[in-house]
Amino acid sequence: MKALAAIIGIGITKFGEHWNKGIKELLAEAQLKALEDSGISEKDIQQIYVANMCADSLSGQLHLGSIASQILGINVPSYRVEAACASGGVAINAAINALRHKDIVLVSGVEKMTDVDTAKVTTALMGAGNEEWEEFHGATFPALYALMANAYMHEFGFAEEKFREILSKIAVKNHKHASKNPFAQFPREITLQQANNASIVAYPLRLFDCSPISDGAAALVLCKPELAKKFCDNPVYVVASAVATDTLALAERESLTSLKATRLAANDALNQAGISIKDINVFEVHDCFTIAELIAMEDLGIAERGKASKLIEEEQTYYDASIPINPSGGLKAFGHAVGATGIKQAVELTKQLRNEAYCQVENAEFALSHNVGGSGGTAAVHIYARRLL
Amino acid sequence: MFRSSVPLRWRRYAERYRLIGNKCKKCGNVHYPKVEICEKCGSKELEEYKLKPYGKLLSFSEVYSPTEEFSAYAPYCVGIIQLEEGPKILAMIADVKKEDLKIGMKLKACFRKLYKDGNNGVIHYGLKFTPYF
Amino acid sequence: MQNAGIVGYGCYIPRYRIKVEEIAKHYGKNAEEIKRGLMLEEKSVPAKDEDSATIAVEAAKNALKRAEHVAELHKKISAVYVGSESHPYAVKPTATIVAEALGLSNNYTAADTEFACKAGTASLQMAMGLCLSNIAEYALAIGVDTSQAAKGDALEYSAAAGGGAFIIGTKRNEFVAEILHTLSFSTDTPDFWRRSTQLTPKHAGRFTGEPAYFKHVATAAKMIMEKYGYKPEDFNYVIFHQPNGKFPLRVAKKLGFKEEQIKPGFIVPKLGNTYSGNIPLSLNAVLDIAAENELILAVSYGSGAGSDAFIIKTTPLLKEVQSKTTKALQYLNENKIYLSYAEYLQHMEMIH
Repeated sequence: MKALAAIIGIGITKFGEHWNKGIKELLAEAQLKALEDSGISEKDIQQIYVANMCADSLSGQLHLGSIASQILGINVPSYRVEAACASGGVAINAAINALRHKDIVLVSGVEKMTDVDTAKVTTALMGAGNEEWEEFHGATFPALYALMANAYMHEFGFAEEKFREILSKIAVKNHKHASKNPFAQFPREITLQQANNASIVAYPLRLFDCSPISDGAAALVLCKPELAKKFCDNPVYVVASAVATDTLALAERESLTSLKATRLAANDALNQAGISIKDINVFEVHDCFTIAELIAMEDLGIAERGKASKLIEEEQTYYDASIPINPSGGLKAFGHAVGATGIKQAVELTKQLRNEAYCQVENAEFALSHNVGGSGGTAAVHIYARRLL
Repeated sequence: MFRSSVPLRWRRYAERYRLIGNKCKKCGNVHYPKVEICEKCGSKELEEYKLKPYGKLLSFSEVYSPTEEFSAYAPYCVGIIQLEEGPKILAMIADVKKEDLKIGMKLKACFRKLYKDGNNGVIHYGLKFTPYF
Repeated sequence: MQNAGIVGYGCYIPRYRIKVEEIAKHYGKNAEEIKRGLMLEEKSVPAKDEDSATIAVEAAKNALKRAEHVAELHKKISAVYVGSESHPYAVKPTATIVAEALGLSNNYTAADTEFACKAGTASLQMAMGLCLSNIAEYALAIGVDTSQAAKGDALEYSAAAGGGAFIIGTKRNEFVAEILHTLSFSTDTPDFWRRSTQLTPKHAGRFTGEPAYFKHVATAAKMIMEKYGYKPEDFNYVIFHQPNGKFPLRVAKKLGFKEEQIKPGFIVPKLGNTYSGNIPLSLNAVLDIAAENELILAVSYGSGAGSDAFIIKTTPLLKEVQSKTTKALQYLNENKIYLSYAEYLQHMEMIH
């Protein structure tokens, strides 16, 4: 098993509505916390990546690379990375590649979504889809995943009421996890009944099937694996970093109920690490909608096609059960500050492998993060190890 | 800004109004929207091709929380439709509530307003789909 | 002597309807009285995403379906005229939207016409002129409207949406119906109008009767029959412009026509008044059921004011094309979706 990078510092803001903080304040908070956690000085950072999706459409602000380096008062190469909701995962992949030439790289993600009204955000988020052939035809983000959900129900023969229960159970689990996490946007439980009866956003998806609109930022300090022990006693190693792409528009995919990009990235990552999916002890998957978590379980190989619902019914994906998924609360309950989410997943899993998490998975050796852009145009999968064997 | 762009929509009139895609001269694969390289065999020899305005419904959703442009229409239905010659598209389904829809049903294209740029801008037209009676 | 003829015809009516009762209820009026007075039961309403351009396209596509006996017709149509009181733009033609949607070759002349409810038949005469003068081999004429009416006005019960399209040519062996004669009678009579900055029309009350509708319709009908030597009993079908049910029945009786001649084209009770689509749609309904070698007299009326009269003879080819696409009465009677008054208002808001 070969390490590609070591995570020596992590930082994260609470996800939620931050009326007093703009892009710069959120990014600064995460970046400075990560630096502090790593114990190194900002002058040691040699390159920066900033993941972000909507700063231009919602704040009129591009060129975030310059903002990120200015926060630290340095003049290093600094790149904004955008791959819709997979911006974070893709930024980590880019940062890891940079470690071939640089020793220490900072990778952060930030999103500021609450400065404009919901309709504008809904419109901006559709930039993750195909503008001409999806957005212009009335598709919204929830509608794209709702089309997947309806197709899944039909393909695998689920009765509507039964399927509604399955999706609600996923939301209930993620809220249960978030209720223990002070950084989560919704640190409170919900009931199955609340999830079942919530208002419809895009049939069959209801309010609690959908991740919220969130402000937030997260950051990681990465270094070459061989230098890790110089900086900290408990580095977490990245042992696989894979990105795959697929068609932009949902209609043009081979399947409406499986994301090829996830399958390709997951296979690539597991090959890189030389392990099987059964070796992973804890997952952070991209639950932008509850259906996305269900489909991700199958695309990652945790369950067979059409069978993931069984694990949900048996409540096997709670943090203290056999296959812990989204112990942070996922995108649903922790929040989905789009550009920051991929980084936040790495932050949570680093905590897990350091034994510092809120919903701590016992004896976690390997962790996997799964970050998706749009309705599956990009997928980034990373595998982390507590130690190198 | 781009929502008021005239050329951005105008250049797609033939594709939007008449389902003009392209067909691979080598393997016969039909594409919609147009592609630069055949998705099946990789050939760059493609010719314009007019698809038939009929399709099968593969999935649908009823949207209650629309983007800004379509707020006057909500709730409305969208669907993934497989056209007769093979390509799959996303389109709004006109004149229906979700109770009228069933996966597998036949639909046909109809010419409708897609988006009106306020009271002063251009009206953009295109194809939606309705149940094929 | 060469005549122009119809080589293909088609129409379209939106699925939505609103009943007279539903509108009357909103105003606290007596529905039965209104239904009796206007001889109207319900009217068609456009979908939120329909307008005169979209309706014109659907009607024209149907006309092309009935003209498949003319090879590659869409490449040979070189004139397009669309008549309406509700063109989507005051400046920017509906005709080119229709031409683009049909995939016509770009060698066409086009214009939008306006003459209140007879803009469609005016377009038809223009199409005939382009063909008979050999400027165009084939021409497309459409009459269509998403009719407007001010809230609370009596017109609200009848202002409806729909349209009809005709492809005109001059090769007799391609005709499904031959236009033997046309004649018009026009004066400057402002009985019903809409100023350019206003969204809904106004009218001069009872002045729209005798000096307007009846004078022009009756005069044009009498003049065309006299000029070409016809009597009312020569016709199998007669179609008069139908702003409501009463007017056309009254003028028909006055001129000596019988009920069985009027009935097949009398579609206003369940359709309403589709303004420029009025005669085009009624003519569609008649052509849908007529046998060969039958005579039709059609007289339109457009406020402002004028009437275009046509004497049309069906050919043996007609029965081969009638069932090639959806018929007028199918659009009128099948797959209807009824609206509440509140829903109706939402639909009408979107036509501007």
